[in-house]
Amino acid sequence: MTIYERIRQLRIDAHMSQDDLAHAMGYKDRSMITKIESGKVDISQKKIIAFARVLNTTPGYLMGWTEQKEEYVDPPPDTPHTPEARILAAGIDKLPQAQREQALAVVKAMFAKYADYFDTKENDDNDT
Amino acid sequence: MTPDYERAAIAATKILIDCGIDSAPVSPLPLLKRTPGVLVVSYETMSADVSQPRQCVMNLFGEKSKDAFTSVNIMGDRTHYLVTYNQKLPAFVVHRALARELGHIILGHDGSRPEEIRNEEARAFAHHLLCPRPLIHAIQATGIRLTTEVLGNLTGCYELCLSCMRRQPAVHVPPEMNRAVRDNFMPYILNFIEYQRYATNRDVAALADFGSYMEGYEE
Repeated sequence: MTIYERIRQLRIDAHMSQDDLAHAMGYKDRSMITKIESGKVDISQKKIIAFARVLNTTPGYLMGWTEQKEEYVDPPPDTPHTPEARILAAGIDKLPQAQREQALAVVKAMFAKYADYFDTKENDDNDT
Repeated sequence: MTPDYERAAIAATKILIDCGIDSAPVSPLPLLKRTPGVLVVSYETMSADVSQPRQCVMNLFGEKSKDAFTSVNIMGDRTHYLVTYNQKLPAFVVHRALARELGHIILGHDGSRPEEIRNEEARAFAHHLLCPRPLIHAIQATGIRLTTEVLGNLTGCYELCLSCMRRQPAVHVPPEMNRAVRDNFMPYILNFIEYQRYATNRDVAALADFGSYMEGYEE
């Protein structure tokens, strides 16, 4: 599911109309929400956080990094407003956007590929 | 906000004690591999796994990630770390880079503090892990002069690493922790002293022989 589909699904789950979401996000009308949900416009990092707050989930869920729909929690005051900063500790949030997206895709693929390894290791650690 | 050097030093000392480290150079790779929730892969492995050329994958993560970097995936109460490193660098550079990444993980760095602070704390952690102060102090106490060569033999770190170490302020680590580290290292220290005395007498002659050999070497 893409970020656009997730936003649409969460909006529907919250029984919000596109007008409601546009109002909550501070847009003038629903046209921007329509464009976002159909994937016609890119969303900035600040907007991803704003969507996560309004839809009561995490930026990580919207980005597809996790399948768990957790509730939104305000970050600590010093947290940089980039969701990647919480995901990657390597300063990757400072890369150009296209490069960052590619890097995140690679990392995401690696975490997905080794999901079983992490699960097994966690079980082993719990056993010992 | 300033780096918490003391916390980094205590965390590194605790690792040395908990893992029963009793010889040097300390290798961070096995320490990383035994840390819960951590997967360590080389750029070669990552390149094969995502079917991209190695150089493309390396370039993707930026200049600062040429030696190693850590990705963190937080899912509810579970945190997974993916440590990627460049195994085609000299061993001591790899050790230093992996020690820093271990520092990021042990110190719980997640982006909630500025990058410069995180990096400085990770560097401090790495130096206290790779250059255990109780070990160096015990060698110093035997009268062996701490030259770059001696410290290099002792810790696997070289001048760049040691100059970083000198830059950091003195920190207080509980004496009982320092004693525990020194006790673990004691058999190693005794062997090292013996080796260093032997090596000092032999190295000058060996280097002279090697120099003569290389003069006659042709490609």
